[in-house]
Amino acid sequence: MEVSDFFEASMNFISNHEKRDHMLGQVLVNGVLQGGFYACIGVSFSIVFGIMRIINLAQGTQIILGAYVTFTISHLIGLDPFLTLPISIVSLFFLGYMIQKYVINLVAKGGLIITSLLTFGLNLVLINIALLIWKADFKATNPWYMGMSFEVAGATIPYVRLIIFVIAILLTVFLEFFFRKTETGNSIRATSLNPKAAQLMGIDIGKTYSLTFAISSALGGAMGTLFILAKPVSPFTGGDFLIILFSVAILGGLGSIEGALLSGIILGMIEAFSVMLLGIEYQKIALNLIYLSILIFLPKGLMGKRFYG
Amino acid sequence: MVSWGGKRWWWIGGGICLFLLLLPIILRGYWIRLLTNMFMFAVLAESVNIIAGYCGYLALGNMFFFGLGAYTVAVLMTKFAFSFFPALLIAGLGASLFSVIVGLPVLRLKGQYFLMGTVGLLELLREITTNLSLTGGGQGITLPIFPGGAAAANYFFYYFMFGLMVISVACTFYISNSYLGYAFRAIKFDEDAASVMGINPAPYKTAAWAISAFFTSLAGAGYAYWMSYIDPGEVYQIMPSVKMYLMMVLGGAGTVLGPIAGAFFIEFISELVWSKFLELHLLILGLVLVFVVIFTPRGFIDLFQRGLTPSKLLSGIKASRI
Repeated sequence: MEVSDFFEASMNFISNHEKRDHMLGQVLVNGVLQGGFYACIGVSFSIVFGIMRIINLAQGTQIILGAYVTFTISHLIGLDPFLTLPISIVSLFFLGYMIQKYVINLVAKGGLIITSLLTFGLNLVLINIALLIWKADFKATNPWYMGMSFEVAGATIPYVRLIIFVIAILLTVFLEFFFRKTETGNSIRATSLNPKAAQLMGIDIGKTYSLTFAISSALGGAMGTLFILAKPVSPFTGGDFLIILFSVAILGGLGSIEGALLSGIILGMIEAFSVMLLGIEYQKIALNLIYLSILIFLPKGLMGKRFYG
Repeated sequence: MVSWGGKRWWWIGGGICLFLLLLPIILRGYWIRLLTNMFMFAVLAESVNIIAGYCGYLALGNMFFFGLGAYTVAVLMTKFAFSFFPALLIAGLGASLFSVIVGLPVLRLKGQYFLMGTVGLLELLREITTNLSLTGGGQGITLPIFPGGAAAANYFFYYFMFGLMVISVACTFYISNSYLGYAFRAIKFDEDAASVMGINPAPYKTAAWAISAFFTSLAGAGYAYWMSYIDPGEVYQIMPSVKMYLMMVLGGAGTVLGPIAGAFFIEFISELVWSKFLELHLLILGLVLVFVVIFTPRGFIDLFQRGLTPSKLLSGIKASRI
């Protein structure tokens, strides 16, 4: 694409009033619906990053594993994909718990380079296992209500996207409630504030870390179930989430679920509007540029705090 | 660190260099290309060692300098009819300049944030390269083929990468024994304390990244001319970046020769796995990563000093587990 093409596209867009008014509502809806999903995957990455200071490079692939659980069960038994949500949550919860307990906990104090390399190694292992079981081609679910939608003020809203959005927001709100109101949630927040002091208060750090990672994986698995309802997946799709995960975690601010929710929706909007204004090929460039500027100019994020909680 | 005091080491180093210089006399096609690839990864591991091993800034996306160098040479040679060596020089200096410009804001980030920032830069440059018509977009770019036939090309790139490796080792050796190296290590150990002791971190960090960028970019430039075809998805990958870090950690971060040894070892294993277990190569590489960071987080040399008995290996884990 040339710079002149870009200008031509934007001039076309400005001159075409009728089309723009029609599109604006649709883009807004798309942005919000996509944003809810981004918010929730961002939260799943952000809790591990905020509490253990580990950059989990395997999170994208864990999301994909959740998608594959849904794919397999809905194809084998014919269960509705939305009903497989608890199964993918539980199975990814156990996977995450085992990974943290038997692998990551061994090097948790080893520093940034060690933990990052470890999670990348786990990422490769998970990708290869997915490749062996489900092969490299794209897999998708196709329930009967797939193409159905309704219209509000000229904007088309697919039922599936709306349900995905609602479930993602509900899970995020539920997580916030869990961290604030339950004893386990409080012990997780205490560990992130000061691991040594938490240990002196009788909190088992290793167990808390395993639980945190398991919650993050479970949330990722749930998001995978929702993702495969919207788009087909292959074992390598997980890498595409990386910048979204980073952006939501940074923009939302360390240790703030409300912030992640807000920033997920902002990013969804940015993505949708960049498609409308610049064209689909500039979507990722715009997202990356925004991500880097947030990192440089606003490293604390929108609602960042000193610690998680 | 390897002791460099005795004259013995100079003789051993010189002997190995002479051996590698004369090796193409007896070796043919495949082995020459394999060794060239090993030299290239040795250069990459050594250049990442300068910014991450010495200076402590984990530039996980350092591979974007590789892509930058590869594309600079490709564009200059195809669109502007440059010959290889002037294009190479421009690629190296251009990447260094780019690292200085980008480093002004990005090097102010620390720890995890710097790592995530460099990964963002990698993705950004890949997307930009994919969408520019100057770089041939997503379908890649074809470079002129090395004149003089395939055999001559093999020897040329063998000596090119070998020379680059020797220069990068010499440069790292010089840095590790100079004021610059002490400043880098001070910044790695504690940046605030270093600045209290009169070391202004900003220019040193920038210098470390610029040197690292220079060598990474030259390796990328050589790779582009060697392969004679590149595309954005291939040269802007995160995977070789992680491999570079694995080599550095395995050989010993912040040592002169460690990353070179790590590069040879990992590339050898990679080649073996590629040829024998094609479908499992990601799994095996991933497991190597996991075992290396669990059992030898300080590298080979530390492992041999500790001893190889199982109880000693486990005692090493106890230090960093929760």
